[in-house]
Amino acid sequence: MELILDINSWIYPMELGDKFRLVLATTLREDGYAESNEWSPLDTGPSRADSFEYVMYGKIYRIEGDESSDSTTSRLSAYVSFGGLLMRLQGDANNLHGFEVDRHIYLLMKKLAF
Amino acid sequence: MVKEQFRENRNCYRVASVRFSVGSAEDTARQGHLRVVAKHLYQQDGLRTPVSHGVLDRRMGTCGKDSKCATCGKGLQDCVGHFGYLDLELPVFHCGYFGMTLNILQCICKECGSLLLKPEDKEHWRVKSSNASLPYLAKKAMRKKIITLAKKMHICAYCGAPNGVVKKCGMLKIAHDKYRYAKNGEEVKNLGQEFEKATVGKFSQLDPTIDVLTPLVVKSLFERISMSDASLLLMGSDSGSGAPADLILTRIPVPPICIRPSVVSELKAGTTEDDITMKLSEICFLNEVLTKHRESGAKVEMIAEDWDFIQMQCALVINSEMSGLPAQHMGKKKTGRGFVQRLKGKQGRFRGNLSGKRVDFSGRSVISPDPNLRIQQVGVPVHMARILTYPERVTPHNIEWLRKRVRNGPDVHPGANFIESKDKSFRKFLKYGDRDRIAAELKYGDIVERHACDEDIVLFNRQPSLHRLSIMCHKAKIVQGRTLRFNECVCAPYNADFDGDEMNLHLPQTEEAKAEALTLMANEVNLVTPRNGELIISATQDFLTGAYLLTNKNVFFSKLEAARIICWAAADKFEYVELPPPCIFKPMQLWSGKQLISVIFRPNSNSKIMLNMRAKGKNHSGSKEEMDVNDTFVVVHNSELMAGALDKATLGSGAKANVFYVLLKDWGKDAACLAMYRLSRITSNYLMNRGFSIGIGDVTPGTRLIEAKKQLVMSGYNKCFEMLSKPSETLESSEGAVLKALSDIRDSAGKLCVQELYKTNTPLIMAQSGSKGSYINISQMIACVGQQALNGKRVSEGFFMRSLPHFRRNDRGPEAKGFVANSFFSGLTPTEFFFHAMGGREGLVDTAVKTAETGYMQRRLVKALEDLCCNYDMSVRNAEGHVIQLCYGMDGLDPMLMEGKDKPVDFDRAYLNVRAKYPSRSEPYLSSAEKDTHYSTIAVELKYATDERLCCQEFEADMKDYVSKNVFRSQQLVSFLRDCWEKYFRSRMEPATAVGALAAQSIGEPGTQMTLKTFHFAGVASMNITLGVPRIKEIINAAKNISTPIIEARLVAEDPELGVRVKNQLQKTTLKEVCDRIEEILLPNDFFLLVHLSRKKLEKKHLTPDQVSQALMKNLKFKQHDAIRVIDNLLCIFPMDTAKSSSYFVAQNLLRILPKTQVSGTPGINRAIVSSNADNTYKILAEGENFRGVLTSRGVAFAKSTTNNIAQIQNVLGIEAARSSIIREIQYTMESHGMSVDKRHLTLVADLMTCRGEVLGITRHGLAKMKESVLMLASFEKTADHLFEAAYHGQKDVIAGVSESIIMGLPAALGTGCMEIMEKPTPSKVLVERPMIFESVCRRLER
Repeated sequence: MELILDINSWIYPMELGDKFRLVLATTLREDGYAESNEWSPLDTGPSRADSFEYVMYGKIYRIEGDESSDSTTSRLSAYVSFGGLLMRLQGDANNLHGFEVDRHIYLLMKKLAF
Repeated sequence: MVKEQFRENRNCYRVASVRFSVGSAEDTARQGHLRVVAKHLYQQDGLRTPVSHGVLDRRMGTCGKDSKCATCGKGLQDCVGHFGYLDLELPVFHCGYFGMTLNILQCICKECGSLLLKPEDKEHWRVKSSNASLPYLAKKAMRKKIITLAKKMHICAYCGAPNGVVKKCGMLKIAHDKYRYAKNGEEVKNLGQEFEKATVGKFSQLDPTIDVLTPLVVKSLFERISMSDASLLLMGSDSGSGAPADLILTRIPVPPICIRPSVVSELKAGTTEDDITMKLSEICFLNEVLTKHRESGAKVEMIAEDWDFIQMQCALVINSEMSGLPAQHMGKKKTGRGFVQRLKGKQGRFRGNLSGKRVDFSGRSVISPDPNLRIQQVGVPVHMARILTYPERVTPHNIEWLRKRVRNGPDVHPGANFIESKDKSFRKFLKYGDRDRIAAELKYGDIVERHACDEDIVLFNRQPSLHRLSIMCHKAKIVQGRTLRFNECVCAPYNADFDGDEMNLHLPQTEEAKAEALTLMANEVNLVTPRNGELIISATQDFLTGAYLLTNKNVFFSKLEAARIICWAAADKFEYVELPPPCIFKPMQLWSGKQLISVIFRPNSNSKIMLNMRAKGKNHSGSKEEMDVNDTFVVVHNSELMAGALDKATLGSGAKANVFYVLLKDWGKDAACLAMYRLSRITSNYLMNRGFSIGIGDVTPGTRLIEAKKQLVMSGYNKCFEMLSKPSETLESSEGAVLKALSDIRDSAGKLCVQELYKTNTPLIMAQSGSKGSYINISQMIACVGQQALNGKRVSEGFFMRSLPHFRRNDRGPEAKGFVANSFFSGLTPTEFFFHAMGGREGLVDTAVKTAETGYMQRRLVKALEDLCCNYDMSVRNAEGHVIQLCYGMDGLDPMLMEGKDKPVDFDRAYLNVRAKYPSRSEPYLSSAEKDTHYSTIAVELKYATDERLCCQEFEADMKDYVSKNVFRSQQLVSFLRDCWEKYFRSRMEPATAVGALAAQSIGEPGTQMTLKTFHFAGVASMNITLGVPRIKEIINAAKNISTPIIEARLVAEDPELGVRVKNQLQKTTLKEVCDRIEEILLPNDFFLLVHLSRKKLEKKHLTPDQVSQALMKNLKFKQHDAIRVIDNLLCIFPMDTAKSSSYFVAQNLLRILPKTQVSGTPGINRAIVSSNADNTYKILAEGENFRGVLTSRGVAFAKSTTNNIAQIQNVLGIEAARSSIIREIQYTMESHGMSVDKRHLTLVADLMTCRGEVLGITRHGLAKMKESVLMLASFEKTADHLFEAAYHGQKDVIAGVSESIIMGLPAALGTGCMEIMEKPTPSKVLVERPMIFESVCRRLER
């Protein structure tokens, strides 16, 4: 797996060598159900974000490398834009199974102490 | 109460044609109401009664309000005027027909009046000329041929009289040198002796053999021309008017008074008379004098003088600016206005009154910008709206609405000025009277002239109207203030800015006009330019800056800010705008600018608009696409901006990789306009809140920058000095290299600035976003102003051997030749300042000259192409119906609708679209066989493939190719093919489009934008070629001699050695270049010149001494074969005595010319250069004209060689080659100025220029050979000449073209005027034949 990720370093500074935990999720709800389509600013239930320091919301807009017919072995790269902050995740097609174009995803990050 | 259907109401009387003819004296008398004889204008009674039978006789009409016409009894308003006539005592030449009179005299025998043609020739031409439907152009050509034939006949075939040369001698006089071809005949001698005897040496300077042909003689000669001969002169028309004798004036028509009014002045006594009146009364007077002299038997000299004078006055009435007027007339500045002067010129009748007219319901004011107006709107000041009215008919639907307006009256804005009753019985001004009552009495069918109000259709225009987008239809929005306002996005088509520009506004007055304007001229349908289909209405300046700042990667907003920005995007107060989820949830909720700007495409989730685009931004480089650190690659996925900062390339005009362009093409004009409006609101408000200004800090260089610049300038100077100190180079080539090195300094300084400046630097932001300024401007402000070039060279010597007295003589260093090392920030030294002013001045002069030149070019282009129209069969024809192109642009597609470069569909974008629209991951990818089946099913289904007339082979091939190269899923492919076919079909040219006018505008308009860069190095330095406006002019004019002819020859084999050999073969080599020295050898018994040839130099040029000697023999024109002897490397040249000079002088002369004598090379080629390309191909660039010579040279691949001289190509390769070279040359010139013009436009221009089988320039000469219509030619240039010529030929102008139609006030046969409604005739009662009144009587008499 290979990752390129933009983050807003003003509000979440990171240094070279920092260790962090990164979670990609399609919903922030604790119960794992899909969220309703509309985002509501008043929605303040318990969420997965509570245990993370940095959370971004974005959209998968492109999946590259799925042209060849047998998609089981090939390498895919998924492009995600979090409002302009880009992420490219390259990896085995099996690992990127849930990635589909037009799907919204959350990126949750937390620095690890060690 | 609907408006009546529009019907052509002039079916029974309509100008079908205009015939020109030479009027005879009888015609003039018949048309005249009275004979004018009196020389005085007014009677001496103090009442200013015109003299009866004078030039101002009331029977010819009236020019005052208080007097009535004596013929028809009507007043000034109604009387059209009546002609009079004036009989001349002696006939005079008509100055307009003088040339033709001369030509006829050259064609006929001056004894018997028969045509000077051999009988068999006569028969041949008679058959040809008797064809009644001979086209005008053929007539003109035939006349020319007959004249040249007849000029060669010197003896009349019928009476045997000698005929010599007929020439003009002096002003309006004709001489006949009768014995020119029989100088030494017996007759001449007799004549001479007789003359000598009669005059006894009195008039020794007179030549007795020359006859002066007076008008009287000419008239009697012309009267003797037989009818059959007259037809060969191509005179007159089928109606029988216009005999040769009519060319001589015996009777002058006196025009009606209303065209030459006599103005009674209040201040001083007397009247001011028109020039024509004065001239005519003078002729009356002279006529009287002449009559008196003739009656009283005055001296012949006196009569001759009178006759001459009357002749000249008659000429001056017609044309007051004739060449060759006697000195006393030239002295006076004002010569008056003859008839010709009234017609010709910009202010003349043709161009000033007939082709262009003044209009009502229009306004003009200063313009100002308003980003809060929509793209379609124009802000009209209330003042204007109260004056501009629209006649609205009262219906049940609008009666209340109109009543309110009537009640408001003319002074309150949504009011009305007049009302008119249904039966047109009354018309009331609403300023006075009881408006409440009038409003209450308003009836259905009445017409209310209401004020202009919001949503009214108006036409908006800015001069110069160079293309059709200079006048567009907007919707009015009544605003306070005094300026006309519109959204800045619409600046580009009008080429408007707000530095005080004024624009015009017109309010169409009928529903038809409104509908037509809205469908054809609305600015929303004209978002793209017909020049190449690029967007022309799009974001500019501040909008670009704002969008760029908003979409940078590091721009985030809190909820408050985000909500505010989003709200600006609401197009109206009811629009629902959705705030997307924040892109950063934790540690705080933040929205990025990219998220917010996506709202302009798709404000809420109800919107269907799904925009998809991937495009390079303005500053994009490299292959990383959106993963590039600079964030310059724009990705829009389903209307969300995913990556990239929006800049000029993706928002601004002049590109197809543009979000608005994609919106327009995929989602329609409303979506594009709305998005543009939202962008203008959001960005201008964002910019206002954020603030964007420039300060001295922005242009202050840092220490590092100063140091780096110093280094840069130093190294540049060193390079420069190095090159200048090289002795081997010629002055020209080193100068070119130096100029290039110095220009590079500024460019590298610019790059340095971009590196060094912080990214919040405002000039840098403007340059990067493309809103204003370039890196060069930044560099000039901060680092270095750079080299000042004049005429493409460094500043030349204005003083003796130096540019300014501050420098030493012969100083060729950078500073002394106009290099400005300082920046505007650091300040210029006095000399630098002066050089900079010189450069600036050149720019100003260039723009001033260019506007005049391009304006004229545009006019010529439009005149030549205005009547070309795309017909229903896709052929392009002119007004006469001659085919110019069989299929418009060879594929019948509309350049305006091209999505790719000259191609109808941009497959990449279509592919991206279908992939985004139908991800359909469940379907597998198609194999190539499956693709084929899909392809053919769709082709069959849409029935496109079967129609051969579509010319879509190229498109089909492209599409097939694309399909085979990319992967598709089933649904994707079906959708892709359908989309592409639909796009192709939509992009076909609409029949009846005025394609000619579009082509003319598409070439003329970019001409005005071409900048200074007039030279360009072809391949290698020092081989300049002309570019820019001068080059376009050369091509359009079909100039025979172009300023920089270059032949580009390719080699049969790509071999550098061969290249050098061919080069030497072509290039001109003089003896000087191959010899060491030339000696003069004097021996006791011999004397010769010894030329020491240099073996080394000869080898370099691949020459042998023998070849040199042969070349010398040929070029020096030596007759004796042994004049040059070759001994090894020596040539001995033996000068010979000639008839004129001794051998010594011959030798001295030879010494002088020998070094410059050519020893090898192709004639006409001055210089040749071998140029190698990157891919190891070689070409020879040769300066010169001799294309044929180069093509036939050994080693030249003639099939691949070409030249930029179109005349040469036509001569050597033929007309088709010339046509394609016209296209190629215009395209090349345009492209080197960064302007793209669709190939179809160029093709049309080239086809028009070559359609007659020779390359015709778009000039008055070429145009006269292209167009049949007299009125069109007369309204172009040489007005009078064309009219007189048409009259001579008795030409009939069928009103078919655009100019003629405008002159006659008819709709032109283009566009909506191309077709008419054919009404079914209502069956009438059976007509009974009635006997004619006197028929029965006649029958009886016959019996």
